[in-house]
Amino acid sequence: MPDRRGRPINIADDLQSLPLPPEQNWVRPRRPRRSPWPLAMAAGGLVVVVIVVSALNGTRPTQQPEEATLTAQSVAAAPEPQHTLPGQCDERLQVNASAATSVAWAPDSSAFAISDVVDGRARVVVMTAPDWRGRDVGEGSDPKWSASSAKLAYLRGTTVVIADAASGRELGKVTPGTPGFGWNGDTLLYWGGTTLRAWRDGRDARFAAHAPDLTPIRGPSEVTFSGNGARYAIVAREGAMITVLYGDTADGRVSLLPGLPAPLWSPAANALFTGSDQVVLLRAEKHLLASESLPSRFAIWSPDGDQALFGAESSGASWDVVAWDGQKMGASVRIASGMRTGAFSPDASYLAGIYNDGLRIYRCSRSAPTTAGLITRDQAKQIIQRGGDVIRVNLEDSKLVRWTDVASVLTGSWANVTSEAADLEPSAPVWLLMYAGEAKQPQGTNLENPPGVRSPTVSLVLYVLDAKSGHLLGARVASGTWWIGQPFESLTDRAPDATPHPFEPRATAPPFVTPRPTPTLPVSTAAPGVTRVESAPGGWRIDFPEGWWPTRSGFGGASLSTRDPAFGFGSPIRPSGWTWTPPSLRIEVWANPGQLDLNAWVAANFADNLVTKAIDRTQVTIAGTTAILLRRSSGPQPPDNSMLAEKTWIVPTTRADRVLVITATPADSVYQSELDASVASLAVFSPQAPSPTIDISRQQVLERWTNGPLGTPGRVEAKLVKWSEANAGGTGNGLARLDRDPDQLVWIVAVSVAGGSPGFTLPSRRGSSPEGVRGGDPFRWTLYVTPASSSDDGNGGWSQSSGKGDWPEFFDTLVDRCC
Amino acid sequence: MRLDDVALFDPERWELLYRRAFPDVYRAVLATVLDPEVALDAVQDAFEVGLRRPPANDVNVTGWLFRVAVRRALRARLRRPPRVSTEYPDQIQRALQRIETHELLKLLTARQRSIVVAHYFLGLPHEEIAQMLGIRRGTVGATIAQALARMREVESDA
Repeated sequence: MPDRRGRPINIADDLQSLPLPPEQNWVRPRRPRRSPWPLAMAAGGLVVVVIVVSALNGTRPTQQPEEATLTAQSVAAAPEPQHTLPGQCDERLQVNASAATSVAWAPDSSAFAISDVVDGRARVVVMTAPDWRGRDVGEGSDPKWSASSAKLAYLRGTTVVIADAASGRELGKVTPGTPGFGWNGDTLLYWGGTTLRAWRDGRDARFAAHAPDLTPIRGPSEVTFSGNGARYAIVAREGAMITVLYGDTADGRVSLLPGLPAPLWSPAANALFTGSDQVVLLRAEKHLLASESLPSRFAIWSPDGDQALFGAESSGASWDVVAWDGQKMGASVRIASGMRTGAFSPDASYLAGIYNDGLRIYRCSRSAPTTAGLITRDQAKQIIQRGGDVIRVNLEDSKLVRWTDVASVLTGSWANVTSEAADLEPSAPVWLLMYAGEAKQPQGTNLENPPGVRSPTVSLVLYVLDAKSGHLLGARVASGTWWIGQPFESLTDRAPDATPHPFEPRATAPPFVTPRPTPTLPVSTAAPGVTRVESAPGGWRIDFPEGWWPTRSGFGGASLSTRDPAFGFGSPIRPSGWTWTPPSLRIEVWANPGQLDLNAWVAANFADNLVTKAIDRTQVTIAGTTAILLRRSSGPQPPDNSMLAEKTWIVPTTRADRVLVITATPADSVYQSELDASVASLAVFSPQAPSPTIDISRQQVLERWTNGPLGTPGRVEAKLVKWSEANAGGTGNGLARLDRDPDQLVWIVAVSVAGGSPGFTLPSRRGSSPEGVRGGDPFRWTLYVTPASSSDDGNGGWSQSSGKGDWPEFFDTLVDRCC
Repeated sequence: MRLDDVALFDPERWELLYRRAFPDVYRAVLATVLDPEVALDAVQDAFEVGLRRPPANDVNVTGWLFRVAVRRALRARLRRPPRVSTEYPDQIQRALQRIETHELLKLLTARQRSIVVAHYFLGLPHEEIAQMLGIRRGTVGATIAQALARMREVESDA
């Protein structure tokens, strides 16, 4: 390549001078062939033959060779961390490491390791109690301890060095495929190129059960691990775009966390995401919690890693940081200002932090000096109990706060304030005591129930006591079961014995307890990297990428999704972007009772409606038969009023009275080719017939009423019918997916109150307003479906109740197939 | 070297052709991605792709391997398997940094580097590079001109 103005730029000669790798490395050691993952290519036209290409390039992870795996282990030597926060950490101890950049405590709290810079080179130094004198371990950075505190791993270049923590002797080395490593017990985890790998006592093997799906990854990536190695994240950056995938290390599969930045991991398995407008905590329980009202800066994790501590910027010498578990603000800790990063020792005795002048270590204590001369929490409770106003306690809680924190809420007809409160300084300490249950309504408050009548008792009361004198300053009452929000929940407890708030997921509906079998979804490995799910009652099977989650959905149906179904939300403030629909494939079995041809059936059941419109319709060949592909647009969707693209395949089955409906959502994501490929792998076969075993007798069904605690109804009868016969009188609105095999035999039961024993009533559901029931009229009859076989999982049952007439006429039209 | 030199394609012959092309392809991919490990992994990948789905008989094996490897290298940085503990990547990295054109190549984007290296090192014509990258022939010429201008600009300032 000549350079006209000067000497030539000689790329060819330069590159020819480059050495080559050893010849034995030119070809990688043989490994199994990649998955014969089918890639469907569908184009326009009336009939399009689906072409199955037997390889998927680039977008599928390379399968690791079959090999033994290392699994998570419990480490008996790992001590339990301290669950209580210290009150303050203000006794500074002498250490010398002015260029330290990171701190990692040994789980037994006997030492911590730092990344230091000595003579211009990064070194790992261990500081050991009680004098915290430094011991050089070796060249490297980012040290992390194993759970037993016996091993230390650190980064040297791109290599992870595993060393004996006591002697510094190197025990092994691994070079991850991408940066990042962590400990799970005494097993070192790292990224092995396509899945997680592990090093334990010199043995190197695969760790995770599954290879994750890496389709969303764009740009350079890193892999990070929670403090206990139970969770991990893959973080990719391309320009300003950050992609975060989150998963269990043992399982390996990952879910996309849309709209969230890179996680800050706790010493346990919690992850914090500090965005610009809200803070999101993803707890180990897979509950996502968000807040927009926390102090501005994340400071440090609690010693047990269960709470994140935040503080507002402070220009003084000390800084109060407040604990948050995702639901409640808890105790505060006073630490020295200016800490850039740091960690409490797991036993909560010390704080080691990186400040502008380097490493500092502080001794922590539990008692806060500010509480000297104040009554204790127990004394405050005793004062209230002695008053005798609290009748019954379901829940109680208390916090030491400032008068200014609560004065503003002691207003209105539901609150009272004593004259003594008028002289209080805003910063005066007060005890706030909350009782849920039943208490006499305090003088001066006026909670009315019913309207116009002052209630003698209330279910919630909040007392405010002067923390110095113990005198009552005021009270506030309310109705309900727990004090939501202000003033109680969001206030910081400044007492040294602040009650730790163990995280409890918000209550949801109680689990459905049933002796019936739990439905299972049989999955198997079709090929490396490819999972196969098969539904015998549905009469189909389909392949999908290994890193996805299959869940059962309706009769003979399934949902295949890229997001872990265990994710739940614990906060009304949802992380931005979490209305995003995860790519998924939904397979459903629909009824075709009239045995219409496919076009007529689609016209009858997939007409446009208010939110969903078909924008294209083609015929395709799938599973060896002619199917209809609808491209539909659904929306507008929150939060940005976007339209959701869907692809729906309507496929005939081997039975004329059933149709398979497969929906890909969204159809225009990066997963489009995977979704299409999965549908291309569909196979249909004759569905399994329902179980003919009838082992639940009519008598057993009726005994619920004849021997029940509610008394005896005037008339109760049961008939054995097919589900399709029972469903003809159900409450369904038009055709929908099948929730049960139409041929399955079930009991349909009718119950009437007319002529029943005195006091017998039918249970009613709160909020329902069935036909004929006006102004709270009781139901006169009920009709419901219940299984006839103990192998029936009970899905798809329904009930119908009414206050109109004494008996469901539909029941009399049914023919009893029993006995 | 063309695949029609061989009567029948089979894995052993593919490996033979691959080994012949390896030095040029590896160096070209290395000059494109500037990372010895990523380059080796990508070229190994390209070999395996050829094992499963051999290229057409009339294709330029060197160009074909380069195309597949560069795409792999630029797309799949995360999927890099753990490194075998040897010293050679560091040696190659040091050698790469010593060559005169290293600093100049670093001025270019990966795409520009791939086009420059394909043309000036592998000797591929504009037409073939255009086919290889799925771009227009004119874009190849324009990209090379831009890359040279950038390199000369810095070279003349030095």
